[in-house]
Parts: sequence; structure tokens; C-alpha cells
Amino acid sequence: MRILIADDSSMMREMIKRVVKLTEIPVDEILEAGNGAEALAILESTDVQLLLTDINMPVMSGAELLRTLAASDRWRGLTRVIISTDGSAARREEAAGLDVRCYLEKPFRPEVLRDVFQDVAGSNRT
Amino acid sequence: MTGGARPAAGGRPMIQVVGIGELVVSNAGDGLIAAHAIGSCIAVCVFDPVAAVAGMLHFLLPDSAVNPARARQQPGVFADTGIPLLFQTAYEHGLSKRRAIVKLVGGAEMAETISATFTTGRRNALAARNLLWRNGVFVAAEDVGGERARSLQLSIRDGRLRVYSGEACKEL
Amino acid sequence: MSSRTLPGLIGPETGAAVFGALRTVAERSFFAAAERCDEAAFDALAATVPAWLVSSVRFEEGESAGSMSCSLPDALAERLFHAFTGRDPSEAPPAWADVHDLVGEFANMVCGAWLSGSAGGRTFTLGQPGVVRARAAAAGGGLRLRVVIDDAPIAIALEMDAGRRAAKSGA
Repeated sequence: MRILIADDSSMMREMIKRVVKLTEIPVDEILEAGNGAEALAILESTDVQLLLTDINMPVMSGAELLRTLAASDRWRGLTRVIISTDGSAARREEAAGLDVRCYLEKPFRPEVLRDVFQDVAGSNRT
Repeated sequence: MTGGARPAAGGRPMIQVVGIGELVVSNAGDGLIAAHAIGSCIAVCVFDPVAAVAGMLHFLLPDSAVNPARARQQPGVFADTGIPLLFQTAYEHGLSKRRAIVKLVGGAEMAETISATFTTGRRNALAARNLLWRNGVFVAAEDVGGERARSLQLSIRDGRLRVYSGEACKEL
Repeated sequence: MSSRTLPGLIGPETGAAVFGALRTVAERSFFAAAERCDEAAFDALAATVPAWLVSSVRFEEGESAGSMSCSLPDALAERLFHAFTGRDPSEAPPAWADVHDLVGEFANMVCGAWLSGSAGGRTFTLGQPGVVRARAAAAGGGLRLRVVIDDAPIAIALEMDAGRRAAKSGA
């Protein structure tokens, strides 16, 4: 499984990577992007199974990234998870229409992210 | 370091009681590890289901920097010295970090200690989680906070943890 | 349930709401205890701080816009860094670029947590946090919160843009 983490904070990306590695679920590669445009460029050139994305990012937001992905069949098999400080009802409603599997609101305890990852990674493997 | 043990009587399992600042680790099969009247303290419980190793630390305060001398004498009093010692002792009994199931109990804000600026129970719970995260260990379950003391019993054989508070009992 | 707009919430309850967001962020992601602090006690702690890191993040929600800043001492920033990343403090000191990134993310999370709870369910946008070093904590023209996190001072300043709906003085 190849994972892409999109967040403009490098330390948040590091924290997420640490949780993923601690679960010991087999992962082939963990890719990183600092904004939605970087993430899209990676997705266009690399076969990724799981996207963990923030919403508020420069250049291209996570919402715009997800809208772009949802508009094409090309990424039908890509599991999408939002990890964001924006926990508003309106954003969650928008996410529901964009093929988002799970919405994780910051701040979160490591165990919560662990549970989300185990759930989505487990589904990915079956 | 080791708590007091009550010998088995009438077929009941042996109970090793962990007092404040103490820790107990066992792979002896039958028996329970227990702590009583946990208020703002935290009981850190570990269990390896394959090696059948169980352990419990009963710490009082989060940071040994407030009293390094006491930490040297009784490391179990503090989270930052007691938790590493709990794990080290558990490793020596055969516990594997990868398989370890860790649970936290306690951290209540007891009425006689509540003040605007001093919240020991909350700080103890945060310190425990911080230490565990730093050491790459997830918390499997917890029963922390509130305003009531708790007592608990951890089964050495199967890791079942029963938490008692007032009239209530639950398995964590 | 009433639908409240953001400007309507810049009032006496705002201080409590912002503090609630800060406490949640501090506990869940940084394993740190946050408590409110009176001015005299805060000033006494602040007097011992040689340099502050000030992280500011802009936000927009409908017609409202403003900025939130979090000012904290270097030493607290470094402690929060180790708590968040899980790195051992006995390892080599972190690069200051990484600490700045983490302080920016801290402000991002506090602001986001506050807006998620206060903006009546509406979406909002957050700008990229900026982090600077300063001799004093940011003062701010609107709401100012004095807090201690693990006994170290941290100041939160909240300011609404002039020309938008004005902020009332907060707690």
C-alpha cells in the first residue's frame, strides 16, 4: 500500500507518519505533499491507495484537491481521509459528497488516528 | 518496589497490592494485581497476552524534577521515572513491547485538592500519555478523570482489568 | 438551535471559547495542561522570558475576518515540539525551522478548534501561519487571553479586521 499525506505542516506530516509506522501495518511507501497541487502531481504520476489530506493548505486547498479527484474516474480506487482543524458541519457535509471515507478533526490523540488508519488500511487490504 | 501480597485462601487467587510509588510485575499465572483508592494517582497497567505477563505501576506525580532525591529512592512515585521502570521490569519478565496492552486508570480531581491552578489528576493522566507516546506505545483503554476514587484488579493470567468506583464495577 | 454568526460570538463568551479550544488542543495533541492565569501572575512569569515565538494565523468566515496569535517562550515551544512528535528530549535539539513549523501548527489548531465550535457550523478558511521571534508577547487590539501551559506563560490575542463587523471587548 502506498500512502500520500498532504498537509502544509511538516511536523504534522511527521506525526502522522509516526502513527502509521507504529501500527506495523505493511506500507510500501509514505509520500508527502505540502499543498493540494503537490499532492495532485504525485497522484498523477504514482499509484497511491490512501490519501490523508488537510483542508486549509496554500496553492491548492484540500477541498479543491478532493473536488478534482472526485470529478474523475481515474482515482475511483483511492481511499480519501480528511485530517483537518475545520470540523464545521458545512465542511463535513461537503466532504460527504466528495467520496471521503473518514473525517478526522484536529486535534486528535494518536490512538484516534491509529484507529482510523487501521480501519481504512484494513479495508484496503481486503 | 513490590507491593504486599495476600496469600490465597479458600481457593481465591493471590492478590498483590500495589501501593503509591510501587510497581508489581508477574508472570506467575494465577493471581491478581490490585490497587486501591486511586484518586489523583494513575495506575498504569500492562499485559502481554502471549507471554502472560502483567504489570501495574501506581504513581503519584508527573515529574521527578520536583524531588530528584525521592525519585532515586522510589522511582515509582513519578510518571517519568516509574513508567520506564515498569516497562523495563516487564521486559525482564518476558513482555514484548509490540504485544503490550496498556491501560490507564485514575487521574481523578479529588475534591480536597481542586483549586484554580493545581490539577494533579489531569496532569498525571497527561504525563502518562506523553511518556507512552514518546516510547511508541498506544493506550488501549482508559478510565481517567472524574471526581471519584477507583480501585482496580488486573488478572495476571488473561489481562482482564476490573475497575471499581463507588458501587459500580466495569471491565476495561 | 440558533444559527450564530462569528461576529456575534466576539463577546464575553469568546474568552471561554478560545480557552476551551486551547485546552483541548494542548491536552489531545501535546499532552499538556492549560490553565487560565491572572494578569499579575502572567506578568511575573513573562518577565523571566528572554524571547518569544509569536505565531499568527489569519482566518475568514463569511463577512468576518481577523487573526489569532499565540505567543510562547522558546522553552515551552521546544517542550511542545517533543510532546507532539514523540521525540525524546535527550536526542539532539530540533532544528528551529521544525519548532517554528510546530508552533505555527499549534496556532492553526487552536484557531481552527475555536472556529469549528463558534462559527455556527459554517466553513472557514485559515491562512498559512507565520512565526516570528519577538521580545514580548503579541498584545493584540481585541481579546487577550493569559494562560499557563505546564506552568509556562502563553498569550493568545484575537483581533478582528477593521471595516468588518467590529469585535466587542472580550473576557
